[in-house]
Amino acid sequence: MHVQPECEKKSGATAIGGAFHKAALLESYPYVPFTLLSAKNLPHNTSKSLKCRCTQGMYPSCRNGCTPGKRCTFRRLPEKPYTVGEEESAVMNGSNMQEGWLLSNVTGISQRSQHQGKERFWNVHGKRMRKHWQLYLFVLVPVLYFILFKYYPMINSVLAFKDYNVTKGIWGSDWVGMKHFRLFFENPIFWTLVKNTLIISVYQLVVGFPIPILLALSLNEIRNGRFKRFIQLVTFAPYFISTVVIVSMIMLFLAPRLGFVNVALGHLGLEGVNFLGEPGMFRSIHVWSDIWQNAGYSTVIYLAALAGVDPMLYEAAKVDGASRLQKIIHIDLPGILPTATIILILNVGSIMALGFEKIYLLQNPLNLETSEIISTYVYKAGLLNANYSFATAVGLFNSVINLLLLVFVNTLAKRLSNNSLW
Amino acid sequence: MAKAAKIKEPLSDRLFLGVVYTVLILIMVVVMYPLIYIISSSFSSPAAVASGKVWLWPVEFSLKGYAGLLHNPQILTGYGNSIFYTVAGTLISVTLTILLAYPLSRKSFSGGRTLMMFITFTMLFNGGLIPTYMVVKELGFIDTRWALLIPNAIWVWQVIIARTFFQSSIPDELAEASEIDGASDARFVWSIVLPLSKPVIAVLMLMYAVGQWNAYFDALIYLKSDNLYPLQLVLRSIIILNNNAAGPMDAMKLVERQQLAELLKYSLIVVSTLPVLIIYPFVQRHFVQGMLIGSVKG
Repeated sequence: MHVQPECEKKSGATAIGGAFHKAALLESYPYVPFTLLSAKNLPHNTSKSLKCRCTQGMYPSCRNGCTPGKRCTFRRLPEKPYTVGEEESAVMNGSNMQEGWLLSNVTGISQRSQHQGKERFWNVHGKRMRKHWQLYLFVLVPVLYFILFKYYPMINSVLAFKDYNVTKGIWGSDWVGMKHFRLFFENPIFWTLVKNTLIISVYQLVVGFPIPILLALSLNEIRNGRFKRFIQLVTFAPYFISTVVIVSMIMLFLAPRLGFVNVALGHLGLEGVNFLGEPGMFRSIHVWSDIWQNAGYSTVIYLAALAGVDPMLYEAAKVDGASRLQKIIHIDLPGILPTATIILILNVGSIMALGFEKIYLLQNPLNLETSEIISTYVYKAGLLNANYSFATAVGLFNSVINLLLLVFVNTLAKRLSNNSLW
Repeated sequence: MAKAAKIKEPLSDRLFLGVVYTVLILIMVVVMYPLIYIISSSFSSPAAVASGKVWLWPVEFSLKGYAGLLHNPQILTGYGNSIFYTVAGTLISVTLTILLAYPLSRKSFSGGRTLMMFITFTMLFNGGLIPTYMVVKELGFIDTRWALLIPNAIWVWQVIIARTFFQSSIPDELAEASEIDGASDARFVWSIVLPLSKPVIAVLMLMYAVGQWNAYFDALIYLKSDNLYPLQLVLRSIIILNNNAAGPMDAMKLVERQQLAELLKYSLIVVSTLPVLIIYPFVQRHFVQGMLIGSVKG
């Protein structure tokens, strides 16, 4: 049983690697005082004197050489203290290994050979794995699920570089290199698809991003609890309506003759419009119905951020005679900025990943000019026309772009502010 | 008399608040009106709906739309199927999610971080539509009920929510204590973790259930037989593809049939959305909590 080593928290060790790893290290060196520190930059094989901040009796390192409050010498190992097993290596080889410090007392029991370290590592983890074998049994089926339905399809994506032949199967089909990609890029529809996808996404982002924020800020001004809750209840409700029903409603409302929008236009003496048949209307219909459905849902997260703002700030502002608007601008907005950044990253990162479901249902031959996007095209080319390899190539192109975009946006956000997804 | 304790807000602030209230009420109307319109139409007479007389309340109250639904075998089968998919799918999904999320929440689970990365990576990158379709085909799931239950059984987001809950509400000390008392991990999960995790299980069930009930895409690509179609696909065929739902009632006049078909669309929307919207006010709190748990540690 390992007690959470509290003194490590106090010594300011960062949480990378988690307390779990620290505990593992402790177990593997039961008699060598060992601790993880945040002082990362000491070169290998050099020593440094630091104050021990452990509490007496917390864990073995405190009893062996490290007296709380006294200075002791920490020495960085000549190289990695031990090599780790393959599954942990990704984690351990990263930045946190720099923190692999060994506290050596005067007698200096410190360096272990790599071999011994590895053995010890597996002693600890192997023992723990044997003890908790049931946990591994639990994850067996879910892991199989991920391999089968998420990773296996990724491997199947090689289809994009082959000419799929039903009798030969995926692996037996002939390699054709970039043929399908070339076909796609040279096809005039390529630019139409990219353009349509981007325009709809950007439109959705530009309109859809600020509206939940404004809604949250307004709701936050309301002191009447009942009214506030009721508005939240109502605006959240459309989130639970299915895509098919939303599209059905749109079609009923916008129907050329009987839809109430056209009936209303008729009463005003205006001519009816076949909204869904107009390519120019498609984007607005899609984007605004999306906002109708999801704005209330997105508001919740901002409201939570607003609830976390320190009330003292409002009191201070009140004393200073700030108006409501000034409070919003100087307290509320900075308060939700981190949340907003994360959501913006997610939105910008998924700008090419426009969902298939709703657009496909809203499409008809008349509006195809603006409504055909990459994902609907993949579906039609692949499953309706059985052009498997080509559709896989288009899909793969899209997935790779999405991944790159997300990584890029995330890196950018990390540079500019401190908010990022990972 | 005591002085009024409250300091009056300045005029500009009261004006500002007035604007906020007005905007919010407007938003509320915009959100609610389409819903009310659909419900009112579904309770009106076929003729009133077809001639566009309904604008807020039911006109010439009638239940013909709902009666018509009962005469359509396609709709009834779809409804039954959807109930089956929702119940079975939710059961499978919740079980798998908990089996995965619990070990991931334990410190004593060696390799948990690597596994977590393995799982979250699928949120960032996926094999795409066609390769996934091929896998489902290889497994022989095409045109079977399994196709709707298995390929999308685990949502990574839900795993994160459940894991965060277990981490914060089931302390490792508790697991260690029961370990000392001789309980195996399975026993601990069954007798301690599950009873303590009712709130998060409720959240998982609701989210998966709503997701299953509302899904149509998997059914669209994997199913071919009408008798397996979930309600959403039936809806699509009747409303979006405009296949007449009034049935082969030859005795009816053409006009009447068309009017009834139009009315059926409204009642169909109400009937398919009602189960979700009725439970919604009771569970909204849980949804919000679930969302926030997930977002804290995304």
